[in-house]
Amino acid sequence: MLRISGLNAGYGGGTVLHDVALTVEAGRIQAIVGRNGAGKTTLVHAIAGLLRPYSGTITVSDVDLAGKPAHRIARTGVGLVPQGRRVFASLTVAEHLRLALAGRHNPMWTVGRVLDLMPRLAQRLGHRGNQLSGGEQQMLALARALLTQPRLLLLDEPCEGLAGEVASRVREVIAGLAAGGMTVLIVEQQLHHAIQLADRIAVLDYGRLIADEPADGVRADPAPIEALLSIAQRR
Amino acid sequence: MDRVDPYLIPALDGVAYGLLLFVVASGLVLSFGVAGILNLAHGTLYAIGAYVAATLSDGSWLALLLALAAGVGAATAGGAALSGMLAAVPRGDHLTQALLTFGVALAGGSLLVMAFGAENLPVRVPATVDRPVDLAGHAYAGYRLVFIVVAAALALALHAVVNRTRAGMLVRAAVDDPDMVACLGVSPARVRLGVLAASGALAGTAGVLGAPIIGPGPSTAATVLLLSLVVVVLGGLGSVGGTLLAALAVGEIQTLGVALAPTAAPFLLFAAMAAVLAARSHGLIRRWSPA
Ligand SMILES: Nc1ncnc2c1ncn2[C@@H]1O[C@H](COP(=O)(O)OP(=O)(O)OP(=O)(O)O)[C@@H](O)[C@H]1O
Ligand SMILES: [Mg+2]
Repeated sequence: MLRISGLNAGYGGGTVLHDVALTVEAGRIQAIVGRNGAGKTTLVHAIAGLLRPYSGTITVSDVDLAGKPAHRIARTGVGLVPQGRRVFASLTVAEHLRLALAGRHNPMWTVGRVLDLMPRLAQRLGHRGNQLSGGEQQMLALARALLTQPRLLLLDEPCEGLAGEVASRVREVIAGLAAGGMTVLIVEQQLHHAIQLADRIAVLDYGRLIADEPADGVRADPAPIEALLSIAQRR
Repeated sequence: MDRVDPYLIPALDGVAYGLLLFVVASGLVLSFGVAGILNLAHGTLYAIGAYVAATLSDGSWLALLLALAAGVGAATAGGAALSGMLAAVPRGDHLTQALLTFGVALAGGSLLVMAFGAENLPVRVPATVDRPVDLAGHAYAGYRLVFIVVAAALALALHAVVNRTRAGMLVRAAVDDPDMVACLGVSPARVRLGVLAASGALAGTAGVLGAPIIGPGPSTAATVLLLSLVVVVLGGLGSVGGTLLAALAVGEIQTLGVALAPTAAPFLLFAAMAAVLAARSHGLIRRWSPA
């Protein structure tokens, strides 16, 4: 489904991602863990087209997307739930949903279906983005991405800054999406959260992918990955 | 009453002047706030509208309507052409944008002088409103009253478009976070084209209808650009209301200010601008830097 190889990317000539290669099969949840500044958001932005990679290929269902502009990538079925949620401050919930769905024919995801999945939003339709709680903003960011009818969903620290209960509700929704066949790439800072959710777990450290393991193995024995992360942390 | 009376006319002039600046400046707010484009040729688009009005006007309403169609059409096309020229310039690169549009403004100014001469041109308003109206014992230009009504209606319409239509929704979203708009599959090039065309249409509308107030001449483009930049700085990029308030303030400073304090008036405008910048520099700097 998603195939990345030889990916180099960064800002203003400086390289953040070094030769990253990663494959995510359809319908699976791939987690990316790594410390602050490891390059997780850079990877997500390179896939979504918000950052133009220096080199490498990124294919989704065998279409090469590397270097394409973000709106093209969005139209090929890549949805982004960005770090910090980035809902539109001056648009109401209803306007977010209408804008995201606009101009799509026979959508799989309709406003009704999204509201069924996240009923909280249905009670906030007239509220603006900046009037919502963190959890509501996260639901809205997810709803906005779903209405673009993605085949691949990129989630960048979706539970960051959320209270435990709200965070588990968000995780439940994400697990439900994957169970329904959605391919998900999720960035998590906490390994134990990634373990709960993911099929595979990859570790990004200083812009290099230093591990990529089935989650079952990590669940059974998290020590090796924890060691990688703590080494990464101490360095 | 006696102390208010001498200032009634300048105050009313200030409203007309302010509403005119509002229509022009809202175009500038749109292109800068939504598409991130600093368009220094905006005053030139106004001048095109004003020259068209001066050329076509013969004192009939039909001529005014024709001028409106032609002037707005030309300025809209001008805005769309600018969008094409700016296609290769990155969004945050305001210096290149400014140089390019300033070049267009210089070339456009020379072309307008070649076509229409170096004189300020007179503009005839429709005969039915070309007579003084009695206002509390003062004679006031009828056209200005009509203009005030029309421009106020335009302001309301603009507010409605921004807050009630899909285009307006897109405009607000693009001000908030253009990257996230792109991630919904909306092409930034299309947003830029739409915004610059609409911005040109506003400048053209202002040029045609405002020609009897700020008439066409060699310095028109620069005057209008400067005043609308002041309005943008004072009013910010956040709302139609902010732009309206700032435009009315600038209008009053330029008219009532001159009547009240003739010696200080030239400084008042820029003192107000400096005060706002000092108080709000954070907000403005955030908006002005590339997202
Ligand atoms: N816009 C930018 N311009 C320049 N450097 C940047 C930019 N964004 C990120 N960086 C740098 O790139 C590196 C990777 O940042 P990135 O945001 O991808 O990390 P991250 O793994 O997502 O971190 P976090 O867990 O804090 O979200 C960091 O060193 C960061 O300082
Ligand atoms: Mg990040």
